[in-house]
Amino acid sequence: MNTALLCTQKLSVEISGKTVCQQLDMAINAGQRWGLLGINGVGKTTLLHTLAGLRAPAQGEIRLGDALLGALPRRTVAQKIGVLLQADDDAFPGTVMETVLSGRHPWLGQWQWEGANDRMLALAALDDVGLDGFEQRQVNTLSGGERRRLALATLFTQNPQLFLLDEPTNHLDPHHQISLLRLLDQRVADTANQRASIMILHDINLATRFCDHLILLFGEGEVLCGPAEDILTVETLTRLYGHPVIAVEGPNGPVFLPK
Amino acid sequence: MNPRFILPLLILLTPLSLLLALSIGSVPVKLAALINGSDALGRSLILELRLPRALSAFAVGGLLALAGTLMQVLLRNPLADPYILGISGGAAVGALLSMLLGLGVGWTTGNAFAGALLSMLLVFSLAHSRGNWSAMRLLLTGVVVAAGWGAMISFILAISPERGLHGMLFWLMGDLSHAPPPLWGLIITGTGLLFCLPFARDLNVLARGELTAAALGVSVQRLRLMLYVVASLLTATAVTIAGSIGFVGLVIPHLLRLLGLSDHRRLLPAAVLAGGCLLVLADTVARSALAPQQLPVGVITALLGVPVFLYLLHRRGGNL
Repeated sequence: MNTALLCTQKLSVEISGKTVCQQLDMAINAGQRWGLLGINGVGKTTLLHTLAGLRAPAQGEIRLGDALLGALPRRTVAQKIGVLLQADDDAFPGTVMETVLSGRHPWLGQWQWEGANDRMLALAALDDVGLDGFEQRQVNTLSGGERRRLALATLFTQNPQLFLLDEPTNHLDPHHQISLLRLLDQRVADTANQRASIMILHDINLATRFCDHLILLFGEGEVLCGPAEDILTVETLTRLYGHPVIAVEGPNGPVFLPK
Repeated sequence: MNPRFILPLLILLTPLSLLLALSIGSVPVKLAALINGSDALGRSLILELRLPRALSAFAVGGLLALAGTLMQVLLRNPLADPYILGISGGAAVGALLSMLLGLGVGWTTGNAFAGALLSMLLVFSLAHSRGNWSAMRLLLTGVVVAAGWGAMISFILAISPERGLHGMLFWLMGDLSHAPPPLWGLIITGTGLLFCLPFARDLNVLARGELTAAALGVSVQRLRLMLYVVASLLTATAVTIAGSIGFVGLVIPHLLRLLGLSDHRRLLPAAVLAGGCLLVLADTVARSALAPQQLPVGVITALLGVPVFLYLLHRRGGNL
């Protein structure tokens, strides 16, 4: 059996004195699509950043393949793990093309400039997210949804094995929500590349549709993780959100609605 | 304008600005007389006075613009300039104290550099004392330390005898008439640029945010430490050569960004050239406009820079 893409052993994550998870053991394998759910402020982003190596865990270890995540150079990590952050900051905005090409950063040497191949990947990614023709636009002239799609295109240009996404559907209209999650799906399903994804979502029904595994953060360090079909019940979701949830029969299985 | 053309344009503009600086002055020098060797005075005027001064101006302008570009990325603040963290304040206190005590030019220069380094270490250790040094913490520490230096400068000015004040004010506004030979300044400008160029793409990513940069494989803390040390040393060198010339370090990087140059691989060399050209031209005006009286060059950089900058900002519209 292959080693997992990413696995945690006895992982504890804390933020400002609050426990996000404790003694968490889990393994992300190639082909899996994980959803990370929980109420506001429970520590979803903190856990995601920890898994990306952007902050150190309180205890325990995270392994990327065979290596300890914390011991790897940032550049090596960035070739394997790509992160879609919640919001980009634009004190110094550039063009759409410059931004999407920055996804190639971990793959280029110190003195190297982006080549034809990098440009091709960038243009293909812009095309995928429906931003073709936007290359010369300034990023700060884009709408919230367009920026989100640009950030996804940058992530696709980075072309990592493990996609970590913090609310990828934020700001997106229903059409773009579905089409972008499908794009991500195709990339993870492509078995030749051994990819996987973990995404923070607030829409339970997107999670049932696009994730096969779930991590539920209940707060106080309590975590439930495993295959989605074992976990997703009305009772669990009601407890997760502290709000009654009901299941309604939809065209493709149950649809969960807050009461 | 296509941002690709800015750098070649500046490469053309650099020798032109230097030629202009050599040809303008209170004593007219004829090119023909220079070439056939009949004008020995003109020759020594140009080679021994105008050329070193123009080269010093170029080096200082380049240093300030480069330091300003780096400082803006480090602090993630487009309003940062090389002096914002108190380096020039520390240097000014060193220089003014030497003048107050009547020490020579050599001491003034040495103490200015020492003051700049002291300020750099002070700000770093204060901002860094609890392990993390966010851009905001660094900025606040630097601004407060700079305010402290400002108070000491006012104090020194207040207790100085009147005859020393003129020299002190010129130092504070920036002045190239006492600049040391230009070689070292030029070497440090070139070395600074060459040192930063391999990190230029890292700067592009860092400009988009620290987390974004880390997620794209940049060792953010190491890069920020390097930026702080390099930008501080460049600023310290510039201030030591010519006092605290304002405006170049703030406006040049901004101006180039407004013209559409956001890739630091082009922006860094363009900033050095543009800063150098601006200061060469400003210094030429400073020493010739009201000749034989000399003006502090810092006044001219502001007078030239403000309208150009406002025009570009206006032309760019609401698009900033």
